[in-house]
Amino acid sequence: MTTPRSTEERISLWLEEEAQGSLPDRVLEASFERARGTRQVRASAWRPSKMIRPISAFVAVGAAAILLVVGVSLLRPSTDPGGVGGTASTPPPSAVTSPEAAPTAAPSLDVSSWETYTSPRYGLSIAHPADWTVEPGDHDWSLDTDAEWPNTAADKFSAPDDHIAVAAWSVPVEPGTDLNAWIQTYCEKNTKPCTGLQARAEPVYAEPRDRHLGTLIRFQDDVQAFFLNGDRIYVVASWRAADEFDSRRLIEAFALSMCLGCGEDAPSPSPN
Amino acid sequence: VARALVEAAQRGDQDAFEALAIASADRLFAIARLILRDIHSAEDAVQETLVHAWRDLPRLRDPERFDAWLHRVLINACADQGRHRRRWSAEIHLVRAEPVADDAIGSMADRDQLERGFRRLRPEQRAVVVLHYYLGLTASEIADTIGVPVGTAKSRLHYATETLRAALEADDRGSVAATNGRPA
Repeated sequence: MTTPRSTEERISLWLEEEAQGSLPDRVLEASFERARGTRQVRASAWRPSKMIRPISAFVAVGAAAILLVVGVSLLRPSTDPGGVGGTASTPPPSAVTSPEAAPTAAPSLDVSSWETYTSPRYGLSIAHPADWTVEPGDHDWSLDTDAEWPNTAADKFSAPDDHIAVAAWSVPVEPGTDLNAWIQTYCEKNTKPCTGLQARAEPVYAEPRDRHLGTLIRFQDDVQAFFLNGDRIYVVASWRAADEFDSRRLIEAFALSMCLGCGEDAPSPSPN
Repeated sequence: VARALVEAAQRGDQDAFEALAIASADRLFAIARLILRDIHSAEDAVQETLVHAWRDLPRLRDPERFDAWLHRVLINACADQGRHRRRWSAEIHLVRAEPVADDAIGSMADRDQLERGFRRLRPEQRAVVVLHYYLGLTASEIADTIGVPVGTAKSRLHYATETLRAALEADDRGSVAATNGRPA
């Protein structure tokens, strides 16, 4: 005769039985082989320009030359087929020479071939390269639990080679919330450095027509843009495993394509 | 997990990382297999987990949280596997046809019904079941691991448990009915 067991005990026993077995060595070996060929994300990847210490004129000229070469290489179709790290199917980017279309002097990406994704969860629409993978968030983003990356709350856009990821989300805030104060709180949750945020803040725009002004911050490992619209804050963040990528241009392109409060069943329609 | 190993791996020490990975491999594989119900998908999920863990390890602020962080990376990798391969529906496990002892009959029936109930769960609900009933994590620890509010973790766990309970009770009722209707 068997002893009656609780549902919980029966579930636990079943899982223990089902979990027998070891990971094959070939899987471990393959993992290690891939890891050996993968660069780790380093703290120096996204050093903000305003944080650079005074350097000699000689070094400055050299650095400027390197930046120029990197900038030119980023605009060459042969070295950056997707414009944003894509591998093949996205048409090559071209410099859009319309200074008023971007808040900085750097040429923006050509987003004419991008597709628009509408997020009913976050009440926004945003464009992304056509060959990128879109993974909608599976729960509402929360400052308490989702400030860390990776999380499954944000809508995520991944390049085909999975080396670049962009996340977009929004969160309701109390009326009268100060965007800079919120960014400071958010930063201290899990991003760094958090000192001198206001001094490091740069302008960035959302909304292709209305040009909604927001704040762009370069953090240690990523670049993020923040917009306050009505009673919600919208965030778009760019992260990449390698360190040579111009994430600022990417984040500006994503941000400028954003429509705040434009999602189906938008949680907070734009008051503007 | 030895803090020193994690810190060494964060600094780029491949040997340290491999030691950490070997220590965690079977546990990760078990969790992935339980969630995905497919050995090949589970192997892929573990491989992706280890590669992503190596790549992102320097971003882990607290080395003491390595295990929880690794579980989060694995849960995300399982979700990716499910999305990409659409294998969330479990493969049907065939019940062995050979005779079994009486005391094993209940266990086999449980297995079959739990499998059916589990297949009805969404990926995020499967994950909380595995984290709670297999790893023994509390709702708070689950919330921390998968990055959701505690209330969300509790509600997922409650719903998943009730689904599995319903599956078991349906089978229990069926067994009683069959016993009562059996000729003497």
